[in-house]
Amino acid sequence: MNAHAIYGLVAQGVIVAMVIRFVREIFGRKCLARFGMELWIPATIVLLVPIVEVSIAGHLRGLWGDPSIVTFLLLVLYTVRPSSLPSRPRFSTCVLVSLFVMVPLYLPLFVANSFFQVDTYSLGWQPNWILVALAVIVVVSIALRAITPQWINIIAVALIAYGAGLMESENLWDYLVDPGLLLTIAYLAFEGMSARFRSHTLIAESNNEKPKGAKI
Amino acid sequence: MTHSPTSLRWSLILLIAGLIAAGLHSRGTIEPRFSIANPIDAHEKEIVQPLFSPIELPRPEISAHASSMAFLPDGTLLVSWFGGSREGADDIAIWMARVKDGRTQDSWIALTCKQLEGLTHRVIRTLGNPVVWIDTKGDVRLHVVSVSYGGWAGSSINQLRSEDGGKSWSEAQRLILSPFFNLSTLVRNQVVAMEDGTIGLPAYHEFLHKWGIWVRFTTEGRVLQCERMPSDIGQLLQPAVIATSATDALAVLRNTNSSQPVIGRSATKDGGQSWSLMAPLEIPNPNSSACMIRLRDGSVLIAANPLANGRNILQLFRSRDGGTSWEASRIIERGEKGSEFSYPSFAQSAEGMIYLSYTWQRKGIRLCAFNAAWLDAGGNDNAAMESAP
Repeated sequence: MNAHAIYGLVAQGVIVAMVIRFVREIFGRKCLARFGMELWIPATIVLLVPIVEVSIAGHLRGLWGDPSIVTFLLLVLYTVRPSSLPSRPRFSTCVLVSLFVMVPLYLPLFVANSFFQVDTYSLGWQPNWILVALAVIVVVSIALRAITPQWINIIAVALIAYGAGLMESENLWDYLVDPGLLLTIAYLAFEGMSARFRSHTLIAESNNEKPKGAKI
Repeated sequence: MTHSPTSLRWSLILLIAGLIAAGLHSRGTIEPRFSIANPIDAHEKEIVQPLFSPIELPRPEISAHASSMAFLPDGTLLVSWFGGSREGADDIAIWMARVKDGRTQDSWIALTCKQLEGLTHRVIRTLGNPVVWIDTKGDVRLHVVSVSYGGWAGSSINQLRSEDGGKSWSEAQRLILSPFFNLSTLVRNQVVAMEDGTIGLPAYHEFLHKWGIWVRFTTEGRVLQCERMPSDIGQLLQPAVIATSATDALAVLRNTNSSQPVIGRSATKDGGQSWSLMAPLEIPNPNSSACMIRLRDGSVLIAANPLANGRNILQLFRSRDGGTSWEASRIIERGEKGSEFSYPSFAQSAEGMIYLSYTWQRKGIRLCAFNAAWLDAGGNDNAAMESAP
């Protein structure tokens, strides 16, 4: 078994561990408390026990492939020590990532080829420009105090993993983002927008409300 | 947002290490150039007597489809195809046969779904189009389509290497070519060698929309480039590519557009770094795969189903000007409506013999061999396979 397969199978185990922790948080700790070593026992079972000759991890790998290194690290942190998770990205960061990464990366797949010749994904094969852009974004974000050291560490580990060729993909994008991560970021952006809309509506309503005894 | 200067310093050191590691890994490559042999005078070097002969291949399964061929270092022809109870079934396997001196030597199951599961460590439901080629070490390379879940739109390409002529395979690797769960990339036609030892693989995408793609990778399987082939006549797929010079190449593509059912075309003038729109060929195409080869005399040959509907005629077309103009050549098969002679594949031996394999009625793979003199001789309107001895 090569490093690609080991990473892919372990990543599926981490996804399962994350799902179990998520379920526990929703339904309370008693629900899955009997699993002793917490989440890693079921995750290991998922990794190893074959169902119809292939482990569940093998089925999951066939279904959605391997997550990006960034997603993998976030899932590990969430599962092992949620307190060590980096702070949630700002609303504006989520909107920017959604607009400038998600749209050009995935839109060409869903619209007719002749209408959309720009293929942002292909930049990831010889990604020197992405590396330069990433360095600039991180420096600017530090100057604006918009990024924490944890996020820088996660990006750095993803780059080191790319340098080591840890994943099957040779495209840098696949180390940094994946559909699951980007959908989560898009959800956070949407949630941020709806929260702002709600707060604006509440302010507007409270302004319109006549306070008792107030003079007009 | 506050954080300690020490932790930020260490994070920046880690980031610089990451940027250096990634930069070293993504080091640039030289300008790609196609590896192309100079045309030889066919009449001086090749057998001038017109030759055409069918070659019997085994039919071990009920259904067979999508053959691909390559020559082993000793001159033996290796033919591969997928076969089983029906296309898309879980018993589909990749079959291989060796052909030498006009006779089939042996055939075997080269790869099953279970074997590929073990090699890729993920579930595999069925197998699809194989593309077989031989690397400079003489190892057999196989690119094969597999599906884990869903239909062909959910397929991926796997690359394998065999050091024993296709009997067993070393660990396989999946080609990741799409950002969205790597959905729907497939192969059909033969690879093209590049001057720097890298390989160009014509592939295609067919999730929601269909288009041809050009993938260039190292012999270790590392993808260096993946470019789309544009289209303005509809959705095109299954490109077949030949190099016409060190920088120029031509691609012909299957056309799914029933309102303009002709073979699609694309071209590159920069070693495959970009592909441009070209007017389609005037050869009809019933949404069916075509193949193309540049012969040793410099002419270009296409095998295709030249009908707006149906795959019941398989015919050759030849160009003597690098693919600009085409003339109808010999008919290989002609059957009643509903017959199928499809998914042709070419290979040419060192001696100049041209081998053509194709799906015969979805029941088996047919193989024939002919030389350039047989093409030059023209002939009547009879299908070659019917009138062959």
